Amino acid sequence: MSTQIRDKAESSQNTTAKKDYGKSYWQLVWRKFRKDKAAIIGGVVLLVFYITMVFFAEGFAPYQMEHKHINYVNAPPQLPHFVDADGNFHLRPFVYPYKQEMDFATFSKKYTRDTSRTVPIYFFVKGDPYKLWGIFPSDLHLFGTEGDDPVFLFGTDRQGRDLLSRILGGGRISLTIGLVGVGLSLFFGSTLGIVSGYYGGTMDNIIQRITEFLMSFPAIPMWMGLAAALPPNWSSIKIYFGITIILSIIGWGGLARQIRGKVLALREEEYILAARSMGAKNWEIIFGHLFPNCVSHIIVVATLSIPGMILGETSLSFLGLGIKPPMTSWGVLLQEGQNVRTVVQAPWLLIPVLFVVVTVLCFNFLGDGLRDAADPHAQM
Amino acid sequence: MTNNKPLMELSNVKVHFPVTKGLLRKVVGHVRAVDGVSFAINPGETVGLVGESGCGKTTLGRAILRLVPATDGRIVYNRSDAASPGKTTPVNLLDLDDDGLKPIRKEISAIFQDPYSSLNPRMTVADIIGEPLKIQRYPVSQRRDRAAELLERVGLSSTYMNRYPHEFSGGQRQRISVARSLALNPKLVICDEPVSALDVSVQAQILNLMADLQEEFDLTYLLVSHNLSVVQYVSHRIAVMYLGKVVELTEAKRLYTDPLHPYTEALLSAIPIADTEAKKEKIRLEGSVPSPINPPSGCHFHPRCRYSTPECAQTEPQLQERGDGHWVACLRAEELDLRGIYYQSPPAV
Repeated sequence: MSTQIRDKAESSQNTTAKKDYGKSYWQLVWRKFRKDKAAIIGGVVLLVFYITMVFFAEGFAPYQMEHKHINYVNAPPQLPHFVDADGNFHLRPFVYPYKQEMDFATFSKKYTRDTSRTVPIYFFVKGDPYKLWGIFPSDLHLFGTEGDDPVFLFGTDRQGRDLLSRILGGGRISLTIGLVGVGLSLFFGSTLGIVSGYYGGTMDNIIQRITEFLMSFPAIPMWMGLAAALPPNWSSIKIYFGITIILSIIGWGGLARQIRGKVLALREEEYILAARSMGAKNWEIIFGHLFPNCVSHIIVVATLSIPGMILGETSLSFLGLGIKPPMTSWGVLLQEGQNVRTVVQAPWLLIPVLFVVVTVLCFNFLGDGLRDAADPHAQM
Repeated sequence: MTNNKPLMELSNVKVHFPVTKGLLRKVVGHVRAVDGVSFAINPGETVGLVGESGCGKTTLGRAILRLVPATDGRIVYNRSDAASPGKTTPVNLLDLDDDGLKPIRKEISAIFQDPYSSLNPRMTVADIIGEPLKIQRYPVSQRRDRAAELLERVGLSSTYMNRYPHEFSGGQRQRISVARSLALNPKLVICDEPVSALDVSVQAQILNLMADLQEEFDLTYLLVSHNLSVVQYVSHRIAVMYLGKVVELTEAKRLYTDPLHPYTEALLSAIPIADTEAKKEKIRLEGSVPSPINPPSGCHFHPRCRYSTPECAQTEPQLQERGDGHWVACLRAEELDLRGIYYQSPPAV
């Protein structure tokens, strides 16, 4: 019976095998991954996010994150136009400048568009000076205006800071905290998972009980407790890593379990026995056989757990327990929109939510695609 | 062979696995997977080890490879001296630690049952065949040369070196597995059901290949199998195991034509024969293999034996020699006249 099934699998494998002679596992994975449109789109969007926000945020943002346009507090978003009020087409996009007047009923500023003038948007303009990666001084921005009228594509907050610039800058923290956190989780999770699964026995028992203990904590209260324990006089960079560690403390348990399960299955494979019969040491088996066979699984789990980390950071910062100003993350930006009054009067302050949603969705698409591709021989 | 010393001597080898229960893992019993096995393997011969599943034959093979710990007994390997030919030094494998075992692992290799599980899917064929050399710290260039040479030797093209296992059929994979087992020029190869996962047509190819290689490289095989036809095809001597013990051990031909143990007789009667004229009475064994945790008293086989007497339940028979090199563990071996089958000598290779 089993040989029959094998023969079938074999013959179907042989037909596909014709074109993959000499293709390594990773080449096959890529071939399959390429066919998954959603995953490719997710991957590309994330790549764009990471390039624009993590590496070149200052250059892509029209202003410095902390630049306070005191005359433009809570200004609504401006839409770029190509056709002006007179119906003339402009090749260069422009925005209409704001006219301000005081609303004496609410004592707040009211912005109206002044359609008599246009403020053209220029590309690669000189603006706020900044240091790229803290080293290279520059004042070049992807786009901006010349003259006194600024451009706020996503509006400004109550201190007159450009929201787009702040989203790009905040993305740096929100996007990397997930990666660093997952990196830490991966390290602990895969080490403990492999050790636990491979050695078994008492070691396995101890590691599994610790994992269970950690996983039985409700995540949010645990994060809050730990975040509250971070000393308030720590520098931003310490806080950043503190939060990362807190996020990954919960994260590694699940990964360790998954890897352990995988290793338990792999341990029974005959090639492990064969290696042992040849006199391979434990580390040779772990790094030569177990780890390479777990890598695809680890990558998938990692990709799928990054969104959790990003959401965790956002929630913590939203609650005021994570990243604190002057450091900026998407959660910090959302904190601005915490009360109903702001949401009613300045709904654009919720735009960062869109970025969180898009990022999380993209990671999920990417992870799903990787998971399907990780087993390139499965018939779909 | 220049000397008459066996290559490997097993004496009273026992492998017991503890059965634990509860949170504190209290040992409540032992699975006597291998329960006192003694026999010798001579250089250049193929010893077949047969028995139904669960009789401990695979465990015995793994105990020799030190993949499972033996509880008791001695596994003595007579190591030939490179300096003075003809002289051997006996080493008890069970006394050695990992480091002491490492040089001996060059001389004892293994072929496993499932060609789908015995090759790491992430490694190229060259890496798989070169793995024993890598573990024994041979340089990379030598590994590739050896892999190419062995691939050709087992009937595959050396251009397959950079391919991955998934690109091969079961038979081809098993050839790769055979090539890997030969990488370090071993003396003894433990073959754990090397063909039972393969198609019948492919089985013969692999067995012929193994026979060719035996002649060419002076190999000694311990062939573990549940398939008497397979064992008959290549073995010089055959040991029949039942419930952790060897019940009969003799030359292949004598085992088939003149079995002395009722269990062997029953096994032989179950071999299918492609002859519609042949009249054959199948001996159906009643019940199933008893639990190796609580084996029956006396002769382990007595509850299923059609010749058993009350004495069989009392006294445990020892493996004794009856005639030239024919060992059997049965109290009534002298008086019983058991039926063998027509022995078809293996084709000359």
